[in-house]
Parts: sequence; structure tokens; C-alpha cells
Amino acid sequence: MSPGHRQVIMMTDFVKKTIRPFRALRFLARKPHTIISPHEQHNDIEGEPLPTERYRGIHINDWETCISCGLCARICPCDAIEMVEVEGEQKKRPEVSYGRCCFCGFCEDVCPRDSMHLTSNYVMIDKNSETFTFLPENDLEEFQKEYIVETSQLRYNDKDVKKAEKGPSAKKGVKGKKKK
Amino acid sequence: MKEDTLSDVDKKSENYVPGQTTVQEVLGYVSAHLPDLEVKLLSSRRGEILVDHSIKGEVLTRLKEEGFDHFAALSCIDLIDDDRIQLVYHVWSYGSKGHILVKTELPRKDPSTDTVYRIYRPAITYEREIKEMFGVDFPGNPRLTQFILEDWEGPPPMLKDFDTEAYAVDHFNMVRRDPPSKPPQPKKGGES
Amino acid sequence: MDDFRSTEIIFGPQHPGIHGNFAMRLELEGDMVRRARVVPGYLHRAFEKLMERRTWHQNIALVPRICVPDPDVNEVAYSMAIEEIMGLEVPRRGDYIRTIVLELSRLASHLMGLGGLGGAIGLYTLPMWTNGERDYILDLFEALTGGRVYHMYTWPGGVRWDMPENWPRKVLKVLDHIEAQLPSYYSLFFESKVTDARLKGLAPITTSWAVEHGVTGPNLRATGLEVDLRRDDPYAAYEDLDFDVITLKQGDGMARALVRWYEVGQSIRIIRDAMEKMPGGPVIAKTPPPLAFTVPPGDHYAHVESSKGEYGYYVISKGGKYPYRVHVRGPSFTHGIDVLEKMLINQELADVALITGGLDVCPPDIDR
Repeated sequence: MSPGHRQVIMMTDFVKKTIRPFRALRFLARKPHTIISPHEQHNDIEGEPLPTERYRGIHINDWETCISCGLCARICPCDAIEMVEVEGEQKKRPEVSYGRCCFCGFCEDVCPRDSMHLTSNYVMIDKNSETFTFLPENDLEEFQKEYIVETSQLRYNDKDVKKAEKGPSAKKGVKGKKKK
Repeated sequence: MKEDTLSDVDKKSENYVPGQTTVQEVLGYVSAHLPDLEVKLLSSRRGEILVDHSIKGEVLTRLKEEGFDHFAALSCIDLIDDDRIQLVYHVWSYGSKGHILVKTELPRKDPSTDTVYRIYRPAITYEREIKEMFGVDFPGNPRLTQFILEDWEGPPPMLKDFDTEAYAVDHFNMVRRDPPSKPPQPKKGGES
Repeated sequence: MDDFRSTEIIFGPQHPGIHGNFAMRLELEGDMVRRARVVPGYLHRAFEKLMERRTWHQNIALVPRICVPDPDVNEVAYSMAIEEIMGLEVPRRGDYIRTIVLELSRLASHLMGLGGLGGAIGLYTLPMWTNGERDYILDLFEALTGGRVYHMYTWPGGVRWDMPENWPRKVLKVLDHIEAQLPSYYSLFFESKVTDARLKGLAPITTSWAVEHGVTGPNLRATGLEVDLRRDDPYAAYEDLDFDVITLKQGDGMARALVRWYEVGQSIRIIRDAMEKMPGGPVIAKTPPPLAFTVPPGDHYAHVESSKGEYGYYVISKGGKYPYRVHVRGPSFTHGIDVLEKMLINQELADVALITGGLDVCPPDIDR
């Protein structure tokens, strides 16, 4: 090995051992991938909020257009939908059991009147297990009022929560990508 | 069973050359030499051979020699209406990119056929599963031990006449959901 | 073997180094494994039996659960088998979207697998990073299919919905982002001396041994045999697309990891190519509604190249609304039992997790 060659090797070794570790410093500025849900909004790579429109979450069913054909109950692969009689209603209505539901959205696909829909809402926390069997109606408002998770139930570091609640500008998703 | 380790295998020939015989050629050969077998060309790359289970070993050995050396799968089907159990050996050639299904049938009562694991090594696990799920015996296979089902006492569960629901009710204290007689329920039960 | 010299330990199913839910009984002599026995069955959910009692479409909600990191191959292989029996032709656009979904899924699976390998050698930065990137891919799946992990997006005849308008742009953006991160992952993992010491020369296999034992996919390509079902038996839109089949010669742990690494790059290339060549038109062929859907009698074995190896669905129909029988051939059925038991012999205990992770064993498809 010629002395020049050795020098080159020493140089590359020097670069590898001494200079390169400093490159790791740039990761100090990189924010973590994790977010503080639900205090912080989950965004995709372009900064658009998630979940998207197509997200398959809790059902809604328009009772005015629903003709009680029962197709949703028949297609359901998990046997989660059941047609039940409702007080004050002549027709049977689909009742969804979320202990069984796999959120495949087949009920939405077969609905001939387009009344059954899966909303993009998926947060439901409750202590009572019977909550998770319910009759989907027009909107989720009433359901949400009662059963949407209260922020105090989730335990996070107070500092992190404050930071997150300051707004989306306090945290960036991907390095170099601005939100909205 | 003596286990051959990786270092033993390394001494075997290193150069692997995939065979180039096509599906058509193999089917032609089979129908010429064993005229009582039924062969079918499904598409340019797929062929089917129906054999009696006593000579399937010879056919599979020949297929392997011709380059169909990837044993893709061994499927078992319970043909309860014909009172038969069908075994399907899927072999694939890396050279000619052809797929041959070798189908053989066994009687449904006490099904038993010789193992093919000496010809195609992966069959050792497939046969082990089929023994457990269908009750087909493979004399000569050294690994026909308990596989997936732990402490299983019932009949082979993949057979068509196995009553899944009755077994579950008997063994697991299952509560049956009975839609027709169910009374209407309150919309939201209990306190939140 | 003398009782005083050998110890039997049970490795898994709760061991942090195990790759999923299965266990191994290892007979050790000192630190060396002398005999290994895989104990599967922790995830047995009797899918094949369940599928016989569900309609053709209901099974679509069931099959992705057979492989958690790479679920889409199941839907596509199952749909392909049905289409072949029925003689259905998938519209070209549907094929292209399937290809993109499959490749995104492969990308996510490889990133997760490499992360797991990093975890097995004690390099915990890598799983954090790669799983972070995987999350962007899951965001894409959510925007396209509505599900993050299980998509239930492929139906017999095509795919359920067309792409949203801004989705292709987002895909390309995520690919750019992942591609920009790849060099730092490479220097983190493959240039590390620890990786070199742990993976180089780890449980090498030869091509003839691998073929004999039913090794498929990246593990077989790592031994030098140029096989890839995407090219050898083209399905979806792969015949129109441009990609290389990655092969390496060594057949050891390093080669198996590197093949996966280079396939990440190839997947990115395939998706970009497919986006460019995307044809117009419908995404799903005209089929009867799901509840009136029947398949004529027949049988077909459809296979696809998953991120772990060959995935096959042998579907038998006797006519009617339900499949008569569906047999699933998962790549881990050979990799995870027979091959693994042989490869572990005379290896150190510390390498057990690395070998299992290097083969990318996925226990759900052993048990089904």
C-alpha cells in the first residue's frame, strides 16, 4: 500500500468517525411522528386533516329513506347488524353491534336507497359495554354528546397537552413540510 | 429422524439449473407412457393430471426430474357427495414457469396414502396439517405430530360433516344469539 | 444427549425477539441450538372453515386478516382465483390500481420487516423511523380505501372505488419523502459495524437447498435465483411495468436483508411507473350484486408474489353462493416451520430472533 493510498484511507476514516456523527445533529430538529390525540390534529403528508371522507367509522342511517329491506344485515360478514323493532316505528331498523363490526363498509355498498353510511368518526369510549350496540340515526350529534371521549379521561403530560393545544403551528409534521 | 444440518447441505452441488420442460411436454410424456391417466391442459401454463394414489409417487418423481421442483402446496378437499377425499399436489417449474396440479382421490373412510416428503420436502408440513384437519394418514411421514390444534379430542374439524356450532356449544359454553325471539331493546342501555 | 449438558427453553410467544405469535422449543447445548421445534397455533382462527360458510364477497372482509403486515395480497389472490373461474375480465384501470395498492403494501411490509430486524440487533432507532414512514403509507390507504390496516378494497372484478382526485399527487409526495429518507436509513443500518458482524454469514443457504425446501420470495432471490412471480406469471398490471428482479448471491442474513432493501427502491419505481401509465375507464367489471353473486363450478390456484414469498389461493367452487373450499398457501408455512427448524441448528441462541426476522416469518399465515 502506497503512503498516498494510506493517507486517503485515513482521510475517509477521519470523515467517517469524526465528521459524520455531526450529521446526526440535524435530527434534533426533527419532530416525532407521534401526536397527542385528541388534543392534536392528525394530518397527512400534505397537512390535510385525517381521517378522510372515506374513513369507515361509526354508522349513520337516514330513517326517512331507509326502507328496512334488511340487505345490510344479510351482507354483514360479522353478523353485527340486526333488524330490530323500534317503539313508535312501523318498520324494523338496523341495529349495529360494535363489538362485532369490522368496519368493512359492505352495508353501505349494498344499501339500495343509499341511506346507510359510515362516517369518518371513530372515537367512542364508554364504561358501559351496552353503549356499543345502538341504532344508527340521521346524525351522530346526540351520540357524540354522551359518548365522545372526554379529554380528561386520557392521561398525558400536562406540558405536552398545552403545547398541542396552542395550535397546529406549534408542531410540524414532516420536516420542511408546512401545514395548510 | 436424523436431522441434516445446513453444513451437510452445503456439500451438495451448488449449481442449481432450473429445468426447462414445459407443461405441454410433460403432459405429452405422461399421456404417452401412462395412457390410463387423465391429463388436461388448462391453459398454456397450467396442466392437470388425475392419478390413482398408488402411482402418484412415480408421477411426482418424474415431474421433479423434469424441473417441476417447487412444491407450492398440497390441498385437501372433502368431497362428501362422492364419498371421497381429494388431494391436490401443486408443483411449479422455475425454468419453464409452468404449473401442474396432480389430483388424486382417496376413499373417505380411513383415508391413507404414502407420504411424498422424500420427493418434495415441503410436503412434510402440509401432510402434518392435513392429518390433523382431515384425518388423512400418511405412512412414512416422521412428523405427523400435533400441529395447530392443542388438546383436540373431536373429529377432524375441516371435514364437511363436522358440526362447528354443536362443537362450540358443547365445549365452550357458547351463548347463541337468537334474532327472531329477541324483544325490542332500549336504544341506549344503562348509565353512561 | 446427556441430560446435564442440554437445556430446553421455550422461546416465545411472549418473547420480545419473536416475530409474531408463535413459540419455539429450543434444545440448547451451552449457547448453541442443537434442535428446534416450532410450536404454531396461537393464531388459529379457522379461516378456511369460516370461508366455506360465507358468501364470496363476505370473505373479502375475512382474508386480509391472514397476513397483518401485507394484507392486500390476500384480497387480490382470492379475487384473481374467482375471476379465473368465472372468466371475468378486470378493467385495465382496476388492474393498475391493484398494482399500486399491492406495491404500497409491499413497501409498508418491507419497511416494517427491516425495522424488526433493526430491533433484533438492538438498533431501536430503525423500527421507530421505518414505522413512522409506514404510517404515511397507512394514511394513503386510509384516503383510498377507508381502512388503515385491513382495506377490503379489492372485489372480484376489480376494486371497489376509483382513486380520489388528489390521491396520486399524495402518493408521489410520500414516495419522494420515503426516497429522501432511504440514504440515512442505509447508513444507519447497513453501514453499521454491528449489523455487519451480526448478519454477514448468518445461516447461509444455497439455491438448491432453498428450492428443495420450498423457500420462495426474497429469501430465494437472496441465494441468486432470479425468480419473481410478478414477472414469471404476470398478474394485475405488472407485465406493462418496468422493474428489476433483485438477486444477490450470498444467501446469508445480510443478503436477505439487502434484497428487501433494494426491493423498497423497486416498489417506488413500479408505483411511479404505474401512476404515469394509468389508463382511464371503469375500475370494476360489471358483476351481479354481492348477494346474488354466484360462481360456476371449477377450481383455480392463483398465486402472487407477496413481500414474504409466494402467496397462493386454491379456490374450489361447486356453483352457488358459497365457496366449496379455499386453501391458503402462505409463504411462512414453509419458511416458518421446516426451513426455520433446519436453519436454527448449530446457531447461537442470540441469533435465533435474527434468523426468524431475516426470513420475515409471519405466523398468522401458518395458523390461518
